Amino acid sequence: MSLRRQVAGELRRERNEKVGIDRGKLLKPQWAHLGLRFGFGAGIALAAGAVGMKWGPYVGGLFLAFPAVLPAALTLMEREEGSSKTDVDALGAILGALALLVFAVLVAAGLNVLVAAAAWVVVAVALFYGLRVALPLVL
Amino acid sequence: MTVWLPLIAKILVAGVFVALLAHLSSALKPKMFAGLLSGAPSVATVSLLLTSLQKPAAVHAGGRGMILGAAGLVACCAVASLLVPKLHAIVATAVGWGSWAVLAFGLFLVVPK
Repeated sequence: MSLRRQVAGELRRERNEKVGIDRGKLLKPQWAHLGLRFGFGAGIALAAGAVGMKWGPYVGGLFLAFPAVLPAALTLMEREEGSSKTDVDALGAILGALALLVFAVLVAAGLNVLVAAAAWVVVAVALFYGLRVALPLVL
Repeated sequence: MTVWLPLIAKILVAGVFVALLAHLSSALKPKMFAGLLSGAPSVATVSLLLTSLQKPAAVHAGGRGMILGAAGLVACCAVASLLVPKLHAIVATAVGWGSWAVLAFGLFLVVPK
């Protein structure tokens, strides 16, 4: 079976899976993974802050949307769950990034940061459910 | 010292926030839903909130710069999504980082400030 078919099959399977949380995984953090992710987040905040101090907030803002979470998320998922699930996770990341674009536009328009963050949640979840409904039509 | 303290606070709080969001993402299902958090404004929310306490005017400029970075992030995720089935995730995301840099800095050069 080709990988494309595997991914399509994974998406169809996911469509029937309810959104939820694996409490076992949530309550048993892997400290090495958390440390790696802390490093990515801290590193990007350092880069954005240092660039902002040197060249101003406009240039620093560019780095606030640096893909900090994606590499660790995809690498760890590939190792633990295989490439078809990694591909599906990356599709979700595209939707999250589109919602981030909305977040940035709202902040640039002068909206409060916390309100813009709440808007990110609404837009990201709406895009997820929208794609979930649309995917069976194209696959 | 007063210059460095806010930066150190941003680094620590952003690192903790990213780690917590990534941990939450690893426990969420289905995987496409969990993937949403890879595009979450984790570093941005912390950084812009702390900036708003010191220099409120800088938040607006930061947001404008972030629009360019966010466009780059969409490209990065799209490229990684296309490459992940063919390459290792680390190679796919490295190419994705490259596409982020090309689009974000390309737009930075083209878009009037």
